[in-house]
This record gives sequence, structure tokens and C-alpha cells, in this order.
Amino acid sequence: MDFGYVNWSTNTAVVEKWNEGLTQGKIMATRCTSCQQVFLPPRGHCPCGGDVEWIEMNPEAELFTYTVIMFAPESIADRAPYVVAIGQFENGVRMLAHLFANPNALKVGMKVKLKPEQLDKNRITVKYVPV
Amino acid sequence: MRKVAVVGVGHGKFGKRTDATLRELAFEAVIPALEDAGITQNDLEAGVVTIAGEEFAGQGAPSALVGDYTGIQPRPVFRVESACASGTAGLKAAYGMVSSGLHDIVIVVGVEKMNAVSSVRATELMARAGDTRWEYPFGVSFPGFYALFATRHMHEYGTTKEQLAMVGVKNHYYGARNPVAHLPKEIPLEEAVNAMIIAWPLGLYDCCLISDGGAAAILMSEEKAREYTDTPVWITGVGSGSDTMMVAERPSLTSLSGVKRAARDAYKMAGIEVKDVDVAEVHDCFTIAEIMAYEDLGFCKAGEGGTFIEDKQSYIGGAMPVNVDGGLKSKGHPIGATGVSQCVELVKQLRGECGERQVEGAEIGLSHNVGQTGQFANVLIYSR
Ligand SMILES: [Zn+2]
Repeated sequence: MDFGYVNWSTNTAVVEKWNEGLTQGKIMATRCTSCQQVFLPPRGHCPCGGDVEWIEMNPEAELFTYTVIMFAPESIADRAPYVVAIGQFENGVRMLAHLFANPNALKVGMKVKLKPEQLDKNRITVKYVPV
Repeated sequence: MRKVAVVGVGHGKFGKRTDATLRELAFEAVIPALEDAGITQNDLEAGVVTIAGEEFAGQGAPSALVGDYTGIQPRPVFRVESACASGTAGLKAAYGMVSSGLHDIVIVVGVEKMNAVSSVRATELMARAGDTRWEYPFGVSFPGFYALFATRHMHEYGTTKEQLAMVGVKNHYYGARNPVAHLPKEIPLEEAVNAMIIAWPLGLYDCCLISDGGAAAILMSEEKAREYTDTPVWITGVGSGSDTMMVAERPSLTSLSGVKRAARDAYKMAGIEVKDVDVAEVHDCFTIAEIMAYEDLGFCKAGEGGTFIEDKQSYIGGAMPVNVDGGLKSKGHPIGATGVSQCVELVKQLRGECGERQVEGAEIGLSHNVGQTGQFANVLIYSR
């Protein structure tokens, strides 16, 4: 399984585990067992050197900021226009993803939810949708 | 540490230069810089070449090509890369080599050939400077990242799209008076506000140009500088900082923490306060970036950047003249050349050579050069 509309990175164990969570409908993050920092998207290492463990996120978030991309990079140009959003979750962490909503009805602070989206048999991503 | 002066500067024409490749663009900056310093390549001890991405020009090991074509070889050359802040990173490297006593005379050559590829391809290459695992797959263009800052700035502080546009209007006003500018023409406010959207809320005139061009500066130790010139411009402060790779992780999206650190350290090293600065070159890759720079550099308080431009405080005659050469917006932004181009403008300002764009009596200049979306930040202070 590959992650994202476009990518070219190899799949490490962390990405495999994240993708596996998505196929089960879950948004998974990692948390450092030493300093407790939560990483979303997940990291396999904490800068403090502590071990990380997997936790399931509450997918509900608030729209922190957004943009509507009209002129897109070459590799994803066929999807434009699209909304790129950063959501802030209840534990304070934030993640960037597309937001599927009317671009004229967006408001910072609105309630959104991060969901897996299967793009085809071998490709999955996440997207925000309004709650 | 020894004192370091800029003794010679050279600047090529910025623009969509179908007539020149990387080597010619470098050449047309290096030769004027040597002439300005009154030296030849034989007097140089080393060269630092700043190019952000060899993928634009399609030339691997581009610093070797630049070193060869401009006649710096067989003296040593190497490349310094910090995305859009490469130019000042190169100046910092050269400053270190001269101040430490390793070399007495070093040239910094900043150059980029961006228009060898299409604009949609250039957008792709720049998007890859975002985290390729977690941001790039969502197609976040470079304007897109700064648009995320702009939306948040508007939400937190009430900054308006008109205020953003006013930054572009100012920079085009001054760029129209700069013969090396890429787009030397004035833009009416109404046209800027209503321009085609690139990444909401940023329109065409909120975004810098995709430019080709080169700039060069020759740095010398105090002893050598006194030998070659009566008007040395000293580098008195060098500060730098960095930030998270992923923009979403940052505590604030209305400020760049690396810039604040860089400014603090540069002011301290130069022994000055912000009020002592007479003229500033800031990294206006997007209009929101200039507004954030006003705030992060201390020209005004956080959240007041919008009214700072609306009140024309960043025009000549205002509290802090900013980008009176046209900035990245109108002068252009050949990525690796930009930090060196800022150096060229400030040296000329401090020597009083800027004609109708001259800030009268300018003694202290500030250069603010940001790479990616704040992952690299350098602030340099120049003094007469
Ligand atoms: Zn930790």
C-alpha cells in the first residue's frame, strides 16, 4: 500500500503501520514513552531518544488554517483546485491534508474530521471532511 | 575574530533570461564585482557558490561550472545550499573564512537559472522542498504554504487582502526604478487585489517571480579592505535560525521562530537595536512573508504588519524603508542569488549610490533571507 495522492518515498515500517491503521478506518499516531510527545503524522523516533508506541487518535479536529490551491505542482495538477487544510486535534497536534468542502464555506475554527480514503487497490490517503 | 568588509559587488539583470544559461548569468555578476573591488581573479583566494537547486538548470555540480567559467579556478570553490536562503548562507560561510584568518579575499557568487523548465515544473520542484513523505503528497505548492500563513494571520490579526496587496504595490513602485529588476513596472492596487488567485488568499501579485540571474560580492579582511577601498561596508552582525520541516507542527503559523532567533543574534552581535537600522532588505517571496518579517524583525509589534504597510511605514520616509530595490516581488527571485542580491543593494545604499531609490544618509542596513518556509533563516547587518 502506498500513501498519498502522489509520492516517491519507499515505505518504511512506520508508514506500513500507519497505512494498516487507515485500512481499518483508524488514524494512528505515535507517542514517546519517555517524554510523552505525540507525533501525527507518526515518527519512528523521538528526538529525545525515547521509544515510541502507537496510539489511536480521536479524528475530530478544528480547522486551524487553509488555502485553496488553484495553480498546482505538476504531479498533482489534474486535481486542482483543491483545499489544503491544517487541522488541530484535541491533544493539540496538527496535521496537513486535503479538506473536501465547499471552498466558499470555509471558516477557521470550523469542526472537521480526518478520515482514511482508499484511492485504489494499492493507494490510500487521508482527508478532512466537515462534521 | 577579524573584521570583514564587502569591497566589491556585482549584479546581473534579473528576468526570464532566454539569452543566458547558468554560466553567463554568473559571469555577468562576477566581472563587475571584481572591477568594483579593483582586483582580478588572481587576487581571490577562494569562491563560494550559492545555487539552490541543480534540477532547475539541469547541471550537476554547478559550482564547478561557475568556478570555471568565471575564472575563479584553480582557486578552491564549493557550493552552499540553504534553499532560498542559500545566498546569505554563502555570505556567512565566506565571513567565517575571512574572519577566522583562513583567507583574506573570498568571492560569493549567487546564481540561479530557473526558467530552463516550465512554470508548472518549477512549481513541482519547489513543492519537493516540503516534506516529501507527509506534505508533498498533498500537492502543497510554495505559494500554498505561505497562503496557510496568510489565512491564519488574517484570522488572528484581521490582516486584509488589500494590505497584502499593498506590499506588492510598494515593491513594484521601487522595482520600476531599478534597472536590474525582472518586472520593473508599477502595479495599481486594484489590479493587485483582484488578480488571479494562485493559492487563496494569495493572488498573482502576492507571489514573487520565477527569475534567472546572478549577484556577486567580494569579502576582504580589514587589512586588505583598507588597501583596496576608502568605502568598505562592514558585516557587523550575522544571525541564523531554523524551524520544523513540517509547517503544521509549529506552535505559531503567523511568525517564523528561526527569523526571531536570527534577528536577536544579529542585533546582539552588531551591538545595535532595531531602531538603529536605516534600510532593510527582507525576503518577500510572498506579500505575507514581508508582513511577517516586519513583525519578526521588530519593525512593528506582532499583528501590526498589515497596518505598517497600510500606513506606508516601509516606504522611504517611513519608519523603516523595506525592499526599495523592488524586493523578490518586482526585482525577482533567482533563488540562490537572492541573499547576495540583498547584499549588493545594501552595500550600494550604504555607499549612497542608489539614485532616486537612495535612503538618505543610510549607515546601517539589514538583510533578512529565508529558505523554504522558515527552515532556514539568516539575518545580516551591514554597516558603513
Ligand atoms: Zn521523547
